[in-house]
Amino acid sequence: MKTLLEARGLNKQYRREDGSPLQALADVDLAIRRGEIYGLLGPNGAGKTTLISIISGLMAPDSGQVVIGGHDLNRDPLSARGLLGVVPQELALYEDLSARQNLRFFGRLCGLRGPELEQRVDETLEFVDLADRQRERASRFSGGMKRRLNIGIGLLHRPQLVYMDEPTVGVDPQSRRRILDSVLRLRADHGMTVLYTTHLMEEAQELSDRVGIIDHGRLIAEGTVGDLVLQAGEQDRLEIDLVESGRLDAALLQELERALSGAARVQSGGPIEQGRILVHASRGRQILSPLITALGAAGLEVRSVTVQEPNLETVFLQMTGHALRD
Amino acid sequence: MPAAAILIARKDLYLRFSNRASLLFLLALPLGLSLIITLVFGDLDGDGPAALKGIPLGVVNLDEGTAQQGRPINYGAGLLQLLTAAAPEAVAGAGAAACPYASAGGAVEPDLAMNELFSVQEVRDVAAGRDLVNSGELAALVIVPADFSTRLSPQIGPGVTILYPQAPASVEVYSDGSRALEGQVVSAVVAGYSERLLAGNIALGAAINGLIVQEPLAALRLAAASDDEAISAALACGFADLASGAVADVHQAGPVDDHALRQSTRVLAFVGMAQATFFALFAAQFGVLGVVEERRAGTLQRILTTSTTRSAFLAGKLLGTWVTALFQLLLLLIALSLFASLIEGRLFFLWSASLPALFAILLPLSLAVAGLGVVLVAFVQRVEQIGAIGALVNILLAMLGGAYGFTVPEPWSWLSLIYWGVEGMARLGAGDTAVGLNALVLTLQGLVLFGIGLWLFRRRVEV
Repeated sequence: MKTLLEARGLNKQYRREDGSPLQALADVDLAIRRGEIYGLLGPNGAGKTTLISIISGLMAPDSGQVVIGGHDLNRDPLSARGLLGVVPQELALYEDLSARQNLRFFGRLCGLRGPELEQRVDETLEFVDLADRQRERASRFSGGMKRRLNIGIGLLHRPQLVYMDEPTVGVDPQSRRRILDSVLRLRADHGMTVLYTTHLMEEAQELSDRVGIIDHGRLIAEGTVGDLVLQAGEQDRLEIDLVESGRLDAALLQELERALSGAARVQSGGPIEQGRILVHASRGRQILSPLITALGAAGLEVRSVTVQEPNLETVFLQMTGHALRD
Repeated sequence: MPAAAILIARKDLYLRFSNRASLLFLLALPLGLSLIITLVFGDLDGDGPAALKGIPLGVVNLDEGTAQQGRPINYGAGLLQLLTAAAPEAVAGAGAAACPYASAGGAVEPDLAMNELFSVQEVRDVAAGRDLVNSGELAALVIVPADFSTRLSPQIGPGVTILYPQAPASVEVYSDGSRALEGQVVSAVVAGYSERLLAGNIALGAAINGLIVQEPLAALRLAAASDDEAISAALACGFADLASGAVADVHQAGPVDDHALRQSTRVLAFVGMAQATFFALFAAQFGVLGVVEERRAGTLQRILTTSTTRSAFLAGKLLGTWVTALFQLLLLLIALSLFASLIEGRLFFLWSASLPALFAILLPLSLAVAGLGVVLVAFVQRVEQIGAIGALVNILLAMLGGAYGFTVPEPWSWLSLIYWGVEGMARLGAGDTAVGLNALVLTLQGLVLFGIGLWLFRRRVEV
């Protein structure tokens, strides 16, 4: 798959109010392939906004290069930006203009004219489900409708690369679902490439082909969710509650580990008398059956079993030492 | 002009003219302002505003006078005569009746009773005069310097060459800050007198007429040798007057135009234009506030992620603001002219009935005003800042430009676009359409200010 966006060696330093330097980006390399949905994860202050501002052409890096569709953003900014559609987190539209007027204005700025412009406006209004309210001023729209219009403006000129910055922040579940579906349709229907930032791990997991994790100005990991789990060395976690603790002790826990042929690490989930066992295994569901058999053989009756598979939240925690929302 | 700039300007104008609050600011405020100016300075009942009658005014005339071809001239005395004259007496310029300069200089003539407007007291000593102002006994003190006439008068030098004074003439108006209106009126009259002497080339006319009377052959030689338009015109005028016998005494008082304007109309013209320009400054800042608002709303960033350059964006803002400022200035001038027509009792154009001449000043003036707004907006990050910084800059420009009733010596006043705008409109009001320099300076100011604003805006790391 060909690369659409390539950022190489991006560095950016700010000055704090006290004059001390703040490295917002440090040697960031990023490559996004055509037709890919790339999730960028990072807490506030991680450098996400700086990276996106540079990729959008709103800010120049201290060093490094950004190439979009073969156009160097520094040398040929207009061609590069022509391939880009931006959906900012904050609503960026004119409240006193109608949905149609907003789309027309931004469409013209993107070089669309005449019947082509009107057709794109009609299509976009359909896409964001605002065709029946197109003549109303945006100020009269609900939050979810404004969000959809905000997205529509970024998609109107059918950019090759769409950058969406947390587009579901502050919307109701129904609108959120619509937005997520529309992101998937962008790729399916139009083959667009999407760079998607979010705080919500489940969104990133659901949408992204690949995920990049940025923290303290560095892109510390990237890959598919499965790749990242492997990189982080995260395992499934099985929590087993026994009816009675009975003869549960350290020796029995070692015996269980041997019974599972070393495929899992078995330990007590608290004081022995509490009767809880924790099992860590890379293939949790596969060892479930032999584990219960081994417990039965040891005369221990199982009350409940909880299997917790690793997700981006735990991966992020493992890699950065703090939760994403910290 | 890039298409994006025109699009942005169109969008701004649409939003401005379709929003009720903006429309109120655009339409109601200029009309309200013109009404207030008229009520304060106008004379709708025909008697003139009571508050502006009998303004206690001191005059220190230190002018030692000069001589033109042996004829004594004292423009300071002329000013004193103007301030104390009763209508329809006048202080004539050279060749007042027939010379084309007379129409420009005609406004020097006190067609209204100045002795009703001012209660003039001649003061011998400057310090004593200032004390009288400080104590409130006088509203203002006019100090005519010793070399006033000399600086106004070109001399005929050896070889019949015209020697212009090296330094400009200036009259100081010392006024009581608490009586700003009266000070403003005094300044308007004094500035009008001085400007007419210069703009109308009356002093040049006086010198040349003296030459024609005493040395006609030298005057003919000068006419043949000179390619200076003003000198040629003055010579032509002088010879024409000689033929009609009008050059006998350049300082002889004469009758004035039958259609003399009421004093209140004159004051309205000066104050109205100064205030209109001052108001347009605020209007322009209101216009470019849109940049800050777009930055806050995120639409600026969104626009700049399209193929729109920062230059095109700012040019669009300038264009929209330019049109808005022009619209407001026009609205103010039309409203003030209507009020002036009421005062005069006839259809009367305060500044000029010539639309090309009017636009020759208004277009560059509104461009300069919009350019200033662009510089301000490139400096500030928040809407609140523009209010404070903008007000400060506007007040400074108004002070330099003479909109507050006192004059700042040249060349400082040249720094203010208000000066060039008001001076240009004053010329138009006097029937003088030679406003090319004003238009040029204002255009340059507008372009330079826009250039500075653009440079600052492009240098900004974050938008």
